[in-house]
Amino acid sequence: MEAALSTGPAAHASPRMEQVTYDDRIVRWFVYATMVWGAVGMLVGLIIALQIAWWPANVHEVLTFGRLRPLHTNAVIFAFAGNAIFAAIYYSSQRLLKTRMFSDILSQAHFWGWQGIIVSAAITLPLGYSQSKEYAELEWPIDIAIAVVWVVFAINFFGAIARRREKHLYVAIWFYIATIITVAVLHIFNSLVIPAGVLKSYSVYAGVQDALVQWWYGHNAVAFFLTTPFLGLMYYFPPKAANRPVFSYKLSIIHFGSLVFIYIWAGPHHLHYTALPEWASTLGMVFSVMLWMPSWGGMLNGLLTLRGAWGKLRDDAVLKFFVVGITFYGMSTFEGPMLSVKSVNALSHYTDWTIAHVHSGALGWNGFMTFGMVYWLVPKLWKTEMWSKKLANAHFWLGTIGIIVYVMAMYSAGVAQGLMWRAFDETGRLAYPDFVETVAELIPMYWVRVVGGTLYLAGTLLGVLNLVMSVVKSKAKLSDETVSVTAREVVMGGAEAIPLPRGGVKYDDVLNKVHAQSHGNIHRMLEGWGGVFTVLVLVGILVGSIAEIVPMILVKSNIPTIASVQPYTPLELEGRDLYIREGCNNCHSQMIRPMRHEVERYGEYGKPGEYVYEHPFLWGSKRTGPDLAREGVGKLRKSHTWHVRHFENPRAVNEKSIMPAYGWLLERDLDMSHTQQKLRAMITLGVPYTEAQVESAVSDAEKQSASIAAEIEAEGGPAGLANKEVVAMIAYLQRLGVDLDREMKLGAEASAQSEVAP
Amino acid sequence: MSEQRHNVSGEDVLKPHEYDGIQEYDNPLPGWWKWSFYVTIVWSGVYVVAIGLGFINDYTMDLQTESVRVDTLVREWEAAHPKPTITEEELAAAVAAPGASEQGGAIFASKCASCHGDKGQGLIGPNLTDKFWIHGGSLKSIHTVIAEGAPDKGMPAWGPLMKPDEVIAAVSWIRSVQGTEPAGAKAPQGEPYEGN
Repeated sequence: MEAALSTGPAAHASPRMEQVTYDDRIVRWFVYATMVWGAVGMLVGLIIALQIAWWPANVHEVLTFGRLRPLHTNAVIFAFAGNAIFAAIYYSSQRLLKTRMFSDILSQAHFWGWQGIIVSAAITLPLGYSQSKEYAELEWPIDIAIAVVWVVFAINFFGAIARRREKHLYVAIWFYIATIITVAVLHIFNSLVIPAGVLKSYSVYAGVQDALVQWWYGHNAVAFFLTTPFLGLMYYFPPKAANRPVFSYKLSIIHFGSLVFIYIWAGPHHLHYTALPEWASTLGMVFSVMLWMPSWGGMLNGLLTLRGAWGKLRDDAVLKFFVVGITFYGMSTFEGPMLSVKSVNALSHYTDWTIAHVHSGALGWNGFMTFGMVYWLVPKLWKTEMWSKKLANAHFWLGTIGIIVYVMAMYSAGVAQGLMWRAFDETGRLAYPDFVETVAELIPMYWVRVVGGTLYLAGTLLGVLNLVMSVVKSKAKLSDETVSVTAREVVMGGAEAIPLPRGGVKYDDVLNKVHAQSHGNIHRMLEGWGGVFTVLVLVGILVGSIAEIVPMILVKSNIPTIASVQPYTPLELEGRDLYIREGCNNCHSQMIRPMRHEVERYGEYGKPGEYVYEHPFLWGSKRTGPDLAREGVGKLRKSHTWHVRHFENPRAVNEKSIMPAYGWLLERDLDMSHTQQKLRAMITLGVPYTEAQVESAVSDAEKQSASIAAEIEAEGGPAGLANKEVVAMIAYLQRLGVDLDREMKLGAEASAQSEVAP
Repeated sequence: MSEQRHNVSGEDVLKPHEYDGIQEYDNPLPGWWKWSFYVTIVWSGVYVVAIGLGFINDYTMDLQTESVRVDTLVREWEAAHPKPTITEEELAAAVAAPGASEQGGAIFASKCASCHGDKGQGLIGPNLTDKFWIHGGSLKSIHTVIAEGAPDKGMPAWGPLMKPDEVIAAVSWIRSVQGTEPAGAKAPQGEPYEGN
């Protein structure tokens, strides 16, 4: 390990100066990782796009859409964008704080720990180990590793702040602080589970509560993993690249504070028209609308900082990436509040409109800010020119055209499908009663998306090539940058501590000190107090979190009890776990919205009390296939044999279906070695299984399986399916909607009787 | 703030601080930005109060409004288009109408063949070409099973998904394949019907 701080002859000559050597090697590593994982994550994205357009691309069990989609999202968010923000933070923080990172060992532990997590995700997700909650699919041992590595990162970062030689924290650092604090809080509380095996667990929250916590997490992963660190990046790299001052210090203060405080409330807009009580939905919507200007404050400060540098845009790929990246940020942060308005969401939810929205943010904002940063960093870190400026420009244009093609296809697909779902014909019937008709209509647009994705990936690959060639051609000996800076004790001037007099705090003394230090500008003073600043950020994000989540957990009237709702049988529970393993929730929702066309198509809309034993909730967020919440009742119920044939070959019962075939479910025996452990985990979570039920769990499951298998054979289906996985899956699907249906029939009988009685 | 925002020549004024060479201007908040922010805050307050007091529809009220609209649509259409009668005789006439069987064949291929076989020979669902019927073999019985389904046996109700003339067309096609004895026909199920 190199000495973080060397006191050379220069320091002796001028005692008020110190030399500091920045750790640039760790930044180079993060840059490599960014580009490699970026290419991998986007390639997986291209594969799953192809699978939607052309179902035969689901070539193998571990490569089906349901298993690869979480791999794609995790890879591009946590591997591509994750490594990019670490590169940005490690490079810029050292220079903004004028200190090396706190510990080289922690830096390396952070780097290798994070890559290890990515590799374990890439192995476990295709194998079907998943908690099913979006962007939080990784199983509990990996979740623990994430928490540990994040703490390592936090110590390294806050340690650097503590040793800084710059009294005041620059706006980029504020955004990094918000990122590190909030991601830790989100990850820990959303990942709380009871394990039921080495790679199996159940969320401690159920149904409505699980949904709320998940989307509090999911939305703020967008906020504090894909927005705040990139805003920090934006406040460092574009001003450096353009050599222009930031447009407005005041705007940076106001938009930072309002963004951090407001963002955390916005999560429930992912759950409009669901069983989530409407008051929470309303809060999610109004806070999303209020978030519009705080987001645009960032866009303005970015774009107006670059004004005056427009002349350089013609041949500087770096600035082009930044300008278009920030513009996409502005577009998606207008679109976000718009989609969170309930009546707009009624059309967009469950459709490809959401996919268009996230990709304009991910490809445009996160991707382009990353590429701009990498192209700017390469000459600095490898002491060489970019290998090819032409190639960098080609990357920019391929990427830009790719995004436009991609989002246009998905906007058309989303709006078209949303309108088809809600259309009634002149007879008052659904105009497109058969769900698959609304899918078949979109296939051409899914092919256009494949084209857009290919263009974007091609650009990324050019970027990788350019990086590799630049590094290979670099003749310079790589070394860390050393600069001479004013000594810490001179800079800080004791600003961190307010000395407290012996015998207790004298209130007036503290106030006087604060007043004297602030010079009438409280925020400027806060920028000198790293610890206080961090605590205030923590308080800011906890206000909205507590205000929404705590009442949902404590106030009983939010989730009225439904007497007929019972826990799943052991076989149904195993079937539900298979549903999670195969990632069915990536394409099928289980949440019917209170809209006439949904009730007509799927049956009664979802009630909060139905989901009290759902650990985790499986409401889904996208309907590539139809909703399954009432699959076991009414007009949607199918025979067991229909399901067997459908799993074996969906085209056999529905010729336009794009669902992958799940032949292995018919061949593989159901693993019941953890069934009892699973029931016990459920008991810990408050699900009312008895000890007797746990004892007989396996034999009960076998009995139910044998009886379903016998019915299949009697219906003319294949024989010998008892104890096969497919039977557990069928048991689960046939159970969906049954409890509420029973309750409603009882209610109807009761009201019929009371009409007769008088 | 006490500092001047523009110097004498009208240029933006820089704040005195600097971080790794990055400086910041002392520009004020853009007016339109500030006012738009205020407007969204006020709008949010108004919305929360309005929905709380019932001035804005909540989910259940929305559902009710929409249901009234669709129900009216259904009522008006049914008033203008009386349901085709389903007495055996009139059904027989409708089934025999020219083109009904061809129309029914297309419907059968897309909606029924997956369970009853492309020739009606039976797969998951029973054979429709023999004279054995689980729910009765009269035209009226077949019509009823298609329209209302037999949920216990896994037969969905097609009434909500198909228009009345489409149900009749399907009946027509099924009648046309009676006695065709296609290859791979499923074993008889139900009771024989001798009505033809």
